[in-house]
Amino acid sequence: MNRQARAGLVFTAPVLLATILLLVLPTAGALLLSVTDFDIYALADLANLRFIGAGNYAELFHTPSFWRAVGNTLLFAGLGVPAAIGTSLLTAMVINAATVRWKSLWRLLLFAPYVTTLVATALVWRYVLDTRSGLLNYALSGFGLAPVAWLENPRTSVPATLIFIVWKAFGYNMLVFTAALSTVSTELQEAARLDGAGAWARFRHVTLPAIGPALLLAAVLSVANFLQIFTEPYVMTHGGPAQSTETVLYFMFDQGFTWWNLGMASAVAVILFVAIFALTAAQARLGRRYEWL
Amino acid sequence: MLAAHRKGTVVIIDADIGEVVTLARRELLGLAAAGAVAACARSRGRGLTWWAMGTAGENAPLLLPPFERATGNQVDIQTIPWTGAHEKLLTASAGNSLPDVMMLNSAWLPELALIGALAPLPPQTALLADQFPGAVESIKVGSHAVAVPWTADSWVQFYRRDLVREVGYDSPPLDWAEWKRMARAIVRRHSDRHATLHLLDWPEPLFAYAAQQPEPLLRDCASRGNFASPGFRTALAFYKSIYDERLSPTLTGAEVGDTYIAFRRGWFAVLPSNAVTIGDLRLRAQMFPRALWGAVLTPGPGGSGNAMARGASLAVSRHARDPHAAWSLVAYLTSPEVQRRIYGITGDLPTRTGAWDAAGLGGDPVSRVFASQIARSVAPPAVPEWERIVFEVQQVAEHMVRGEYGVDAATREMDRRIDRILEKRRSLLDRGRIA
Repeated sequence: MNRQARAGLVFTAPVLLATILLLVLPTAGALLLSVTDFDIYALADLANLRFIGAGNYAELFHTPSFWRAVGNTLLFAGLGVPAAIGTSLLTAMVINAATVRWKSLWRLLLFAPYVTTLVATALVWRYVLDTRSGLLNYALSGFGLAPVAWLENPRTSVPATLIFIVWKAFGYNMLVFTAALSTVSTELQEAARLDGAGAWARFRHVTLPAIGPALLLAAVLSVANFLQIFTEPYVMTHGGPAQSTETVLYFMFDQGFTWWNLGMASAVAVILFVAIFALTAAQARLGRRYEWL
Repeated sequence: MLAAHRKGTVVIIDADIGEVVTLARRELLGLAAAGAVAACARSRGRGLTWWAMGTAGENAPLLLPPFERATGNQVDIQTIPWTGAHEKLLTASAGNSLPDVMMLNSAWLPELALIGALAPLPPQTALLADQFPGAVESIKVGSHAVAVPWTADSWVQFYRRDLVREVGYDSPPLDWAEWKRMARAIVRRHSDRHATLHLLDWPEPLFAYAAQQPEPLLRDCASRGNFASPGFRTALAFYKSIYDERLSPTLTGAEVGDTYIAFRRGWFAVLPSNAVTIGDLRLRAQMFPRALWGAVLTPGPGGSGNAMARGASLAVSRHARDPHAAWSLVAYLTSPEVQRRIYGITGDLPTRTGAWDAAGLGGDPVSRVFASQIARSVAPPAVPEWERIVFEVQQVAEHMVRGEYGVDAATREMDRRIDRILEKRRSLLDRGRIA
């Protein structure tokens, strides 16, 4: 090992060590746990632990409530990712427009939800969404609309939770997009305009290629985050009504910490890990095709 | 008493004496002043931690000052909602961060005893003396007592006198068939109302009906579900018919909102519930004058029926820093005097016969109903998986009510799910690892 390699190792060692201790080892531990039936009996006495191979995975395959949780999570991600990215891109473009004044004030106000405490804001939003005394239904009644049981009806509970999640999360992507938009060359924009390109054509062929990498980053992070939704339904609906907001991570939490089936919970974690990994790989492939990576 | 004082521990309310508490309290007020000098010398770091749940937990701080004055032990109390209590206890036990004293749903005792969270009761203790026999049974795992009964509870029917009288009954009948006739009459009379409220996320009504059947809920040494038995099938069919005939709305608690406002508006006439409702109705005395409501036993297939044993108990953690002080807190809290106070605040019923007599509960008609219902309690199977079994059975029952299963298919689905949950228990039984 030459001097340079040694120096490199010294500089990376702290981070490597933390990664191994806090990420690689627990992940390997979860993988190991997922092929055992670690449960309350094993917690009482480790001799009660059995190695069951793919047993947990096979059982999950036959568990309807797991599939319901998968469906709910896909619904959250399918609606939430486009909504979150769309909202943040739109606000970023509006703020970026030359005619908008007090840009930093708007940025600050719109970014604020992102840095507030999740549980506290979730509790506040539970009041906002309350059927009888909530602000949202009060506003709707101004338009003569009947009150909606946002968090109590299995049909509206997912959209209602999504309103909160998008409000909470879009600030981060908005900042990423604002930074990316400032790199879009104004000469190119003006040249396109002179060539007769409309607003959509300019967005599609000038802006989009320039912010492509930012868009890819936002998509990758949003997909990973939306597949791991847990705190919001836990605080706002406790997974209900009728398990309509129970996500995969919620299911894992229930298995792991309510019933203490850590083997089963680890199997869920592994499945989620593989799913997010595969989706991210697919997104990266897509990004490479458009030369965004 | 002085000897104890000189040791610097001032444990006068002793786990081994139990009944002395009331005497000690009076004397100690004087003693506290006399011992002020000693108190100054005592380190202030000696504190007990206590987790208490639900309404009892919210009001627990009211109970503590006499104990703290008498013993010099500061009690750091943490109130926990029942909904998160079970998972918090298991996690705390795994992380070795349980409090010294914990209030528990007695149905969780087998689970917590299995993972070694609970300290055994002190030898030759008087803590279980003067307790109702059913209450003492409820805190035993195997044949060992692992906690002290604190509040007794059961499952009865509260009803609106006026609405029941409208259809020609003094009170809801105790026989299923006759009860059904009354319920149908109420719904016929008011097409926009219901006869009762069986919330879909409450397992209690179904399990109360199940408790009236001769067959046990689990079979083969509690290693398999017994939900396809004729008895449970009958109970489930009765439960389902209540929804099918629109005698109860098909709703969960979140959808109903405030149950008591709905009850006051006459949206339903019979509210099956537990002792918490006594305190709740008392709090809302403006809305519910005493003449408006009454309580009777849970109905059964052939007259008044059984109910599942319920109740809260107090246990000491195996890792309590000062077990002696922890048990003295348990002794104080379960003393007849404190149990009487709790009844006065929340409506939770005492488990000690002494407290029952002294509070004049024998003369109160609602308490008498509870006393006879408690006497007809059926203990839940003492398996660590019970909490989860109840959850799964209720989930299947909810799907059945929503039309996904018939009664027979539902009982088969319940057995299938419960057998899977109990698979580990079976294998451990086979290997002789558990008795």
